[in-house]
Amino acid sequence: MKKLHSLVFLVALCIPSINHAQKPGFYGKKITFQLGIGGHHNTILKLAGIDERNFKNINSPFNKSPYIKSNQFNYSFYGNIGITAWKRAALSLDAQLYFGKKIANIAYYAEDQFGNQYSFNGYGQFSYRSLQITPRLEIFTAGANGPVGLTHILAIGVEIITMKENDFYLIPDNNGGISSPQQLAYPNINKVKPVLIVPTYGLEYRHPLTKSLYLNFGAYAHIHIPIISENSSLLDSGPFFSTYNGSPSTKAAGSRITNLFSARFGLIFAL
Amino acid sequence: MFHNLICTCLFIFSIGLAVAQTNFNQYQTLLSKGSIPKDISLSTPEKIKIAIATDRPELEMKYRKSFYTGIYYSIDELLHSEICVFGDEVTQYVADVAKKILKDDPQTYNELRFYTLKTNETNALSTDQGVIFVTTGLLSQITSEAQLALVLAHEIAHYKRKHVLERFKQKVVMTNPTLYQLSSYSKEKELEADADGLKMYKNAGYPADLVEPTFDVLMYSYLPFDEEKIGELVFNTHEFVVPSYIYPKEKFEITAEENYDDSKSSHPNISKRKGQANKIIEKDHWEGGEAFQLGEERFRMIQRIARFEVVRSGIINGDLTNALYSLTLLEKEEPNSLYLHRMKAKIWLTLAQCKSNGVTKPFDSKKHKEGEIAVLHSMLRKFDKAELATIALRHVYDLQKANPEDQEIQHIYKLMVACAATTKNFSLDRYSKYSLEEGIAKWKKNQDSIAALPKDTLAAKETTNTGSKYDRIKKKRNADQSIDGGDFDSTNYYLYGMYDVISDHAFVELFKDSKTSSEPEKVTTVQNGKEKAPYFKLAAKEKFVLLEPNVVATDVSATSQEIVDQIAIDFPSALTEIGTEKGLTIETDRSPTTLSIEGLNDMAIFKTLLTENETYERINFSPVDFTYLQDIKKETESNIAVIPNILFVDHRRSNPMEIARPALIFWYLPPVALTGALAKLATSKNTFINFIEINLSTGKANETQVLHVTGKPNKLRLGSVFYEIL
Repeated sequence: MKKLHSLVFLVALCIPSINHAQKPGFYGKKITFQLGIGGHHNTILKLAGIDERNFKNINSPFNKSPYIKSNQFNYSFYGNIGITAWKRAALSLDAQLYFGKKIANIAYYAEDQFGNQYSFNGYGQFSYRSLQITPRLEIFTAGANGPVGLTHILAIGVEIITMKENDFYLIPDNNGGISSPQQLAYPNINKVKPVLIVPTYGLEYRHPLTKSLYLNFGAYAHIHIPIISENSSLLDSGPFFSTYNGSPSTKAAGSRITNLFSARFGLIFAL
Repeated sequence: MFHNLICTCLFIFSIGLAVAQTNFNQYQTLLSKGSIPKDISLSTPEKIKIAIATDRPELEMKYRKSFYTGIYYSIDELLHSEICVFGDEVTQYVADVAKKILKDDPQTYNELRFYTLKTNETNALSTDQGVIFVTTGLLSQITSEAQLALVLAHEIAHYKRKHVLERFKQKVVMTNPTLYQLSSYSKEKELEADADGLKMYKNAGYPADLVEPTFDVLMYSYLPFDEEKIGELVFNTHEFVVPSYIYPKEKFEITAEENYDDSKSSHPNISKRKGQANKIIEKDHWEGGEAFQLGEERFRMIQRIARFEVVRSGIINGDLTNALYSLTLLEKEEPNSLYLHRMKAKIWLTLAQCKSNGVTKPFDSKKHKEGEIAVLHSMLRKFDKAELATIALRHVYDLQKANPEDQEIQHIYKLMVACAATTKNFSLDRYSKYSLEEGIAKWKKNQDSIAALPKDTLAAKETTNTGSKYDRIKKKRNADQSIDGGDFDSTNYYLYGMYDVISDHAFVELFKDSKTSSEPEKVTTVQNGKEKAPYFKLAAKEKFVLLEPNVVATDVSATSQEIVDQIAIDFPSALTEIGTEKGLTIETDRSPTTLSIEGLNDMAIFKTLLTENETYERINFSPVDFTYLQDIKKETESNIAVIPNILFVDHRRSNPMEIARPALIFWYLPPVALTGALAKLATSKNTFINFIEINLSTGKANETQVLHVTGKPNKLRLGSVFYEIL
């Protein structure tokens, strides 16, 4: 929050300088609002996603369940507000809501109604959302009449992952104890919300429809670097889970690393 | 019979009208007239499309495309240039002569279209499409209608024999061959055209004895249209004399040979051509013939028009020696022509300014090395700055005295005085009160009186030297600084014969004002250490005339041409809309969206002006079409005219590797390769815009910075550019 305040202050500082700029903006329209959707590719999933690979290989009729989907492509929604502060550059603040899933190899411990404890190993798919706030510097290419035209995007964002508590599907790896994927609750799954730093480089092309309305097409390369995550497995009273090599939220943070490329399509309103 | 009588009367009337219409006193350059032919109104891609679909089915499609693309782009470059005119009296005359030649072949005549090129090159061209160009340079050199008929017959023969296509087939590996490349036929084809042309010439009833002289015209065409000693006519006035010892002693021999080595030439040498022609004449037992079938008076008028154009073309292209030489010849026949007075004033002004500012083009040592023109050129080259400025001032002063009401000459006079005021070593104190003759006589008398004095007296005078060193210095400095105060120096002949000028109070005041006032600096901005012309900036409520945009694409595809055509419509519309929003007043009547004769003529005049600006970049020249510009200024009440220059580049066609490069470099990273290629595609369309602002009072043109726009240049994008810069 503190960081957000600083950013707004920085942007506000730029506003006086806008008036002295050499007629920036498309038809002088300097402030832009953008809404759109994005598609994300988990590029190195196959290399880094051991759990995903193993899940595909287990001999289970349920590893092709419609509840558990391939994790290669995910989607997001985004919005941003920008100011064309200079002839060749603009500042913007971007907010993106990403919807992701992560397959993890887990150990499941539970008690039945009689108080008997049982356990088994399996693969679970966790769902999560992440919110990424990104201040961006937009540099217009030669020939662009910013914000319209081809633009370089340089950004460093902050992403916070929130696991969905009730959206967990489990498939046992030896089909013991549970006959089909089950949606289970995972309380305390958000005990520690992972935070990631996301440096990004992108190219956006804005095509003008009218003086105030443009279409935005973007492609980006980014690296998601976890800086805060859970370090160890947690054992809670049952039912509880333990994942090998880290908690579900840690796994989710790890899966974000595999997302190296994304694309966007949006609508821009200019004032 | 009655019908024939009416036709004859109308014909005579039209000739009379044509003769009467050309006023050599107030001559105006040839301009296009009448309806616009399809050669001009159809766009190049349209013509290519029609030709590919209908013509030359015997040629393979890919060769047809290559042939017509090359031909039409070359022809259109000439047709749309500022030197091309149609419908004027000269072009009509050429067409009438062609009609005589083809009186038995009306079908061929109806296929042909004629255009005149206002250039001093002695040439005629025919194209596969039946377009025939004749230059004013050629028309100024020929001495009879028959000679024109022979040249035209030669060109028509090329057309009938399809020599252009045959040449293309020989050079089939050429892509987009140019008109000049395709017009350089083999020597056999040239002789073939000579033979066919001679036949047509004879059938038309022209005489045999004018065939050889026609080849002489071609041989000596590098010289002016006459060869006369005119030095004194050029330099001397009633008061001013350039003495004979200033003229060069060397002879400038004319070295043209008939039988030159033609192994590296496109044409057979003159000797071969004459030889063949004479054989044909002998064989055909040719007798009789009439040299002027359309009337000698009409021919003389056309010849004179062409010669007037020689003067104009010479000024435009920096060949001031030829312009001055030709003008002096014409002045003998038209001594009171206001047009010639104006041109003369311009030539002298420009010569003086070029010499003063180090512009070397008019004094090029490689030009004019033979004949009487070489004498003139040699002298102009050797004059120093003050000398040439003096001679020029003398002439311009006389012209402004003779034409006190003429705005143009008065304007030139002011510029001439300013030039003199800033010329090195030009000082009013140096000039003599006497004419050259009087000066020499005075000096001689002084010498004789000194010789008559006894030696003792002379010696005594020399030794009687009272006063201090400082008295002697002051005495020396206060002595008469003019040439009258010292010995006669033959090299300073130009300081004599100017007394009436330097004692004219109005001149002296103007001279002093010119010396003290400084030329306003060109407005530039410094960016990264380099000077750049600013963007197009006019104060609000300032009115300017918007002229037709000059829009060009780098590739010849139909898609690019469609975009070019659309830009030509959207550009003025967007500029007017945004300009009006910003409070500018834009006169757009001279930027019509539909083609008109007035628009074409306007563009020809302005393009000529731009050529002059290029030739005389560093000096304050007076444009050849000064009066035309003043008329536009008065009519539009604007002092500035603006020509938008637009270049459209589509990298997908002109540089496809540029689009593919990211994919080739990053093929191992498909998302990066795809993004890079898509980004290149999105920005493959590039439009470069700048403006040429023309000051209608002075004719000076300034170019603004170039603006770059990526993406399709529709009205919305163009409007955003104008919003930014206005």
